[in-house]
Amino acid sequence: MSTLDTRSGIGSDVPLWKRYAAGHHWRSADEEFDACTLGFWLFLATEVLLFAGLFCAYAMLRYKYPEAFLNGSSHLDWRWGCLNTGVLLISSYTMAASIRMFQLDRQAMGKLLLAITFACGIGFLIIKGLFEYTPKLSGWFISFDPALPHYLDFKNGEALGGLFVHIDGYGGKAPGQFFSYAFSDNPFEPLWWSVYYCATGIHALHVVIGMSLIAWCFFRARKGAYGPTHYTMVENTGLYWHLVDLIWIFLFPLLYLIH
Amino acid sequence: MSNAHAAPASHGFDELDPHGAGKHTKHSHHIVSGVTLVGVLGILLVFTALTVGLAQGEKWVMSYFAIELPRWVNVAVAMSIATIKATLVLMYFMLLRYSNPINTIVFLVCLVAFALFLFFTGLDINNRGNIDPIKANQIQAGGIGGIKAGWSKDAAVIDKASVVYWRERKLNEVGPEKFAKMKAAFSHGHAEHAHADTGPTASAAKVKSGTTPGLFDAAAPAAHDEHGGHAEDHAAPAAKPAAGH
Amino acid sequence: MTTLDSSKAGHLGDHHGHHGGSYLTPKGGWLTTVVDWATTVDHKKIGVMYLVAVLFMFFLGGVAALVVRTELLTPVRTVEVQATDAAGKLMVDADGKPVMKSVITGQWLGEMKAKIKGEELTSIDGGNNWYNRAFTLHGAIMVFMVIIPSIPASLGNFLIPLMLGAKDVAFPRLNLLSWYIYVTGSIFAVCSIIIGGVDTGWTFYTPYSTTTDAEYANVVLMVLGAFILGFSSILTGLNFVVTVHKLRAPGMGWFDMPLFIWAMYSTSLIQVLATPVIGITLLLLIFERMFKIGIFDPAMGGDPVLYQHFFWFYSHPVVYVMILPAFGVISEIIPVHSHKKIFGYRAVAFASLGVALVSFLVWGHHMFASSGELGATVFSALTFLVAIPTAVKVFNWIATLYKGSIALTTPMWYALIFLFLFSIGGLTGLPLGTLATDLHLHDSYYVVAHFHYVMMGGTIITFVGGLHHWWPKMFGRMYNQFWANIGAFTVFIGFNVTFFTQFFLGTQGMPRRYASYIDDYQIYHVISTVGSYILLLGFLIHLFVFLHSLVAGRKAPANPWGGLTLEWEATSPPDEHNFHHEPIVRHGPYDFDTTVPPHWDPKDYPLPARPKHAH
Repeated sequence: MSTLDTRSGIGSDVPLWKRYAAGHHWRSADEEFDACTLGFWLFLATEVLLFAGLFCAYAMLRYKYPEAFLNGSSHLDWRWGCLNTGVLLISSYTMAASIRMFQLDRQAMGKLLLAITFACGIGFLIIKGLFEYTPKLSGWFISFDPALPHYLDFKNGEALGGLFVHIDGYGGKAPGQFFSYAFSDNPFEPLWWSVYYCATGIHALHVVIGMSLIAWCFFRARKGAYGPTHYTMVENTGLYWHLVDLIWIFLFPLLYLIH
Repeated sequence: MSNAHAAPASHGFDELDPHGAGKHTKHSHHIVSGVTLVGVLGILLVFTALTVGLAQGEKWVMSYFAIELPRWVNVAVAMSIATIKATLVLMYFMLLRYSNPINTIVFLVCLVAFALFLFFTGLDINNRGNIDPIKANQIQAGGIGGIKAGWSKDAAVIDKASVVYWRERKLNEVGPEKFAKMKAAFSHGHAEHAHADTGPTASAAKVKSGTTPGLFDAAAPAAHDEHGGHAEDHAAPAAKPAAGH
Repeated sequence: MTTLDSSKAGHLGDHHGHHGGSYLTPKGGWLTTVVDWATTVDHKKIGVMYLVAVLFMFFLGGVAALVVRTELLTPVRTVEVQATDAAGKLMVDADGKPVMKSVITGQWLGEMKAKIKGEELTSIDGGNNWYNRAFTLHGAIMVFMVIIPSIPASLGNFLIPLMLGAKDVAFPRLNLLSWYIYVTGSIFAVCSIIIGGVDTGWTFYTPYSTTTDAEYANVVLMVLGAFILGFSSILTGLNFVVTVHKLRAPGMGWFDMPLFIWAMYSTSLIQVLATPVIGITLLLLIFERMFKIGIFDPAMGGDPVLYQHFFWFYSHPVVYVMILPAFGVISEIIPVHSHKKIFGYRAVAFASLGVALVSFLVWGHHMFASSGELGATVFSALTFLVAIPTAVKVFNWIATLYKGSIALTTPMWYALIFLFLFSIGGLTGLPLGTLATDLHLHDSYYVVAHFHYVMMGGTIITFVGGLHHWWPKMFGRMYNQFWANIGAFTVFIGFNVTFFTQFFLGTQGMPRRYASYIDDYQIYHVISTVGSYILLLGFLIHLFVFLHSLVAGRKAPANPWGGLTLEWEATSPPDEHNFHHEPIVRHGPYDFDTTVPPHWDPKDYPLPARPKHAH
């Protein structure tokens, strides 16, 4: 209740974060911050258990059909996975550093680091979507894909003035019903692709949600909403982003490093 | 006992907070040092390189010494490193080391639920048919079809394992010679895969749970006989219609 | 040992219900009031909004139940009869033999549909499909939209901050959001019903749920509805956990909390930990149905039993999301209406947590017929653990009643009805947890009867009882006790007539989910259906009692029953901000032997004349 008077006696040139007052049902802003963090950790627990279903499906099916998973995984290039791991780890660092900057009231750095984190998210999605999903699903490669020269013998189409190149027979590594890849060694390989696309797809969805939160934080930060005494939103966005990273830390070896 | 708090204590008893709940509350306003953050990032990147390196190493060991490492080695190594990385992220990036212990408890409780989920599901799913063989998996390898070959409404209905359907279709389209060439190219695209090196008949060379013997006769007729020795576990289910259809 | 007289126990001694600032006071014209309610973040209003929404869904689910019971009055049959020509003459063929034709009898739903469409009922399947849809509708609505949110979301929302002495839940806006999510999910489900309904059973087992009505969106809509409702459940649970951790009034330690709070805390933990798994399960199910990804499809190498594990990992703990809040309500009603300290406070509190823990270990007992031998054996053994915390609770409640000064009010009647019905429900669960006997009873009416005794006899009965207990607090009006008691007795009789017969049906071999049966079962089905009409009558009586109370009930005092928990220190109905001053906890929630309840005259409520017994 004692925090309610923080508004009084402060002029309008005072940054937004200094004028923040806790909700009327809280005894102090610290209590509110602690509660928000606890609430967010509970939410993270639900996210972990959401992915638990995917990990469980992965474990049961891999135990049943190890060869199908081996065959399927051999189509993934670990170098892309590794690069994406690096991108996410760096973005996790920039996110943590950004919170630190807001805690120290270094607004410009905080915003810059938020922007870098957002850019890393875009990088992750580009690698995932353009270099991994698109060729595997459709056989369309972007012309500067480093893997493309290897398959040029089977080129059978171009689009957008040569920006995209179609390789006959490469695509069709789709989940379940839509699987149409002709060179598979294992009858259960469509299942592997189902698990792969469900897991990475839902993870990618979380990347997008995380990026939206970061964008929101960025725009609020431009108005000076976050500072040493109030940065709950950045903190929780950070927690969410780290969780996205955490999931990927487990998905990467499970999907890319099977042998 | 519910009145215990009401006993006025002489040493600074706070009527508003008789249990002292607020006194030891650790508010999470810890600022991590920049060096720590950079250091943790460095360690995480090193561990990423390590997990890739070890996976390659395992493969090298298997081919160099011509031994077959048990399957769990791959998973155990990868998961151990991933757990270390995750712990670092949790402790330093997500500040569990500095924040209210209740947050750590929440996370651990959720991991316990995760573990229970995996353990009991695996206990059941992976141990069916140990006592009553009738409860063992009865699955038509690769499926019995019934799905459509494409998105459009008038697409053909696949009446066999979809992998076989698409394989035959491509064979008819491009002929066996080009088919073999394409398969070799696509399998070698990421040449790290040990089994892909031996070509289209590689699946015949090893016991593979999860493959159906004789399924790939169209592409590898010569390999048929070699399947005989290890066909028992999958040939039987494959001969029966899948449950429920 | 602190004893306070009533004037000090609360701050509102002279405000008895005459305060103008109650949360129910309209803010202006009807439009302003509607906008105010639609955008409110007040936990009390949100609780009332949940109450209205849940009661509406209860009505829908109840109608579906009556449809099911009415269809079962007569068995569905295909009978060969002699055909008649247009003039109504019996037809014979050239040899003089009668011309036979198949006629479908006993099919109320199918006939009704045929009449509406102006067709002749030709196939037994058409009507059976309608029966399947009716019981799926009943199950899905009652589980996902009524029982799960009933006590936690309506009574819980209203009472948790009041009992903790807080002004609101931890995240009020999230609370409103979760109500809207609940409504959205329910709308999805209702849309699914309108475009034809779902015939998969409420469990959405594959392959039913991936193959039936393949070209329609019904199943996807219903599953999506359940998926969305999951979010509502998660957000509510999360909110309550944080509220209990962070917003207890000064002086309220963990073991000074009312037992309702303990029960709600355990419930919320389960909601947070189990619900995400149903989220991913239903998502995968939608993928499976729309894209045939094969994870649950044996035709592609997937495993339908995996779906069952996924489903029950959530849905078994959720059985305790349904019953734990009921335990909490009973733990409040019994001490208050017998004016006696609860027996074994800590045992009851820890039993709530114990139930929450055990709930994650026993889900496999729903799948004894489909799972492997090892899994079934382990799950059967673990299932008996459930009996320990629940029995602890039941014995503690009975010990509380012993030598209490029991007031036979409507809430107390409901608590006693609960004890009776829940004990039957619990004990009939034992043969189902035992592997050998379960294989005989599995998927029979015995199971139907068992879970109705637990879910309806446990949760719904308690929900209605709790509503009667806190009705004066929620709406500031008393109700007609006589007619409420009549309603309670009618419900009790109707319930037992309906469901006790089903134990006999089940042990004799009547399978669940069938519209047809042999003649020997008909007498039981008729009795059961008559019981369901009595049940309807009972609930209608309650409805009229409540409506009468809202319109013409006398004003409720702040503490009509003499409770000691903090919500009775607020006015009836409470102020916008619950309390005039932040309450300070000076007595335990059940210290009836040492404390005069707030807003009570000590003359009306003398303390027991044994002060020297103080500890």
